[in-house]
Amino acid sequence: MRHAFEIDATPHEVWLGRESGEYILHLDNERLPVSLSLDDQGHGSLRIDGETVPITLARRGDDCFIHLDGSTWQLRYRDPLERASALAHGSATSTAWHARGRCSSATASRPCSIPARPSSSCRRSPPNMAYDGRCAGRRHRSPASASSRAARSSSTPTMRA
Amino acid sequence: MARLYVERYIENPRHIEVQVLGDDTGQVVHLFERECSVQRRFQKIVEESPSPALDAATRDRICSVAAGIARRAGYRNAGTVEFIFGQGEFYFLEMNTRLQVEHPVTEQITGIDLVREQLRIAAGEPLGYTQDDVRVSGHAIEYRIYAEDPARGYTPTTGPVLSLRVPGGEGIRVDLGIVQGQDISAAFDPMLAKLIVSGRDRQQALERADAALAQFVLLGCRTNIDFLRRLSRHPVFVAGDIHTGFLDAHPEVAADVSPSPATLRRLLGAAALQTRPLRDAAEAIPALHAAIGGWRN
Repeated sequence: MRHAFEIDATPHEVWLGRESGEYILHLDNERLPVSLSLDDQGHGSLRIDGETVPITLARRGDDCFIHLDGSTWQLRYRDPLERASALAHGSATSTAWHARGRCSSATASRPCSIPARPSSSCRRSPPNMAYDGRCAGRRHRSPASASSRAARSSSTPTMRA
Repeated sequence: MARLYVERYIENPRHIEVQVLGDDTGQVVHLFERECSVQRRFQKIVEESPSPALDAATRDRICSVAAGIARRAGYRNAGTVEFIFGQGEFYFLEMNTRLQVEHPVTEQITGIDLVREQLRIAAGEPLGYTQDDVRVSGHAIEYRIYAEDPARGYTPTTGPVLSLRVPGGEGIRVDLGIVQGQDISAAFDPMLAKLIVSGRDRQQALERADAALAQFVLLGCRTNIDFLRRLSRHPVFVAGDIHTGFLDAHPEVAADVSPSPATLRRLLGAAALQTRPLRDAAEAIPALHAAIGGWRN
């Protein structure tokens, strides 16, 4: 699966694969062997395409803060499903959301799944609900962060319903 | 009869100020000048001493005038006499009767601890030295590290200090007001630290500043460190041809900079590896679904 990171609102797609026991970063037409070695303070080195550079890294949710080459950068991880749904359909409306016959709404701290009839109103407001058009109309997702979604993925099967 | 007040217009003025010390005995000395022309939103962000704009004769004149003002007022404390400087002339602006943010550059070039002198003066001790004893050695520049976004009008920023590492070495001084793990909030002034570099001359100070700013790591909250580095490398700044409207005249200094292709590859490689557990979890099949096998509802 291709993933994307935003730098100053510009998305950059990457794919990280494994080959012969090492990670390969796929960028457009490039394939670059890459490895990262950090201490518990986030200081260390990055080796990419045979070149090693010092690096400091910290993460907070979907935000990745990197000090590299004498400058500081902030990268935001963009969830591939959210990106795909946004590209396919733009912002979903509540009509589309209700028309699917089932909604699930979640916050980072409180996941839930609520059955809903097409004509009924949902008791929990689903702000900015996104619709994943690639899933044959069976999945609706809230725009919760990828980190919170990942944290829930193994314990909240209703999110995958 | 109408009365009219006319004030001379100074185009592209510099802000130059003179540090003074006065004691109980009436003795006043100056500790030379500071150039504080690089400002944003009428607030200084880089200060240096000596000023690259003054020749020896003008320096002697402006410093003598400042000391004379303090002497005439019977001033007793550390203070700063501020001037507008342009077209070879200087004009009195105001006097700040306190220690100022930019005082470390004066301490670096004179070797005089201004806080210590304030305490001695308050205790009634005489200065114990004369104007001839005050010497200048080398060049010092102070960079104010702010939690702000220069590309968006220098708007204050907030966030946690996830990682903090300050530069060190010869000619490097950091006055710091934060610790790792602290939250930068909007409740306080956004100034986080001061980086003061000194060298035998301005060029060496600038070289040390460039290295120190590159080594200054503060992650989690957007700061002006990269902006300060671009400013410090700007050819007009390097030439010392600055004025209070410098940043308005050179908006490219504050603009966002895109990473070079090589840096972009490194950033994406590091981010992809660092967020791998996150992505692996996002892509993982939940245990319950794995147990079901290929069946789905």
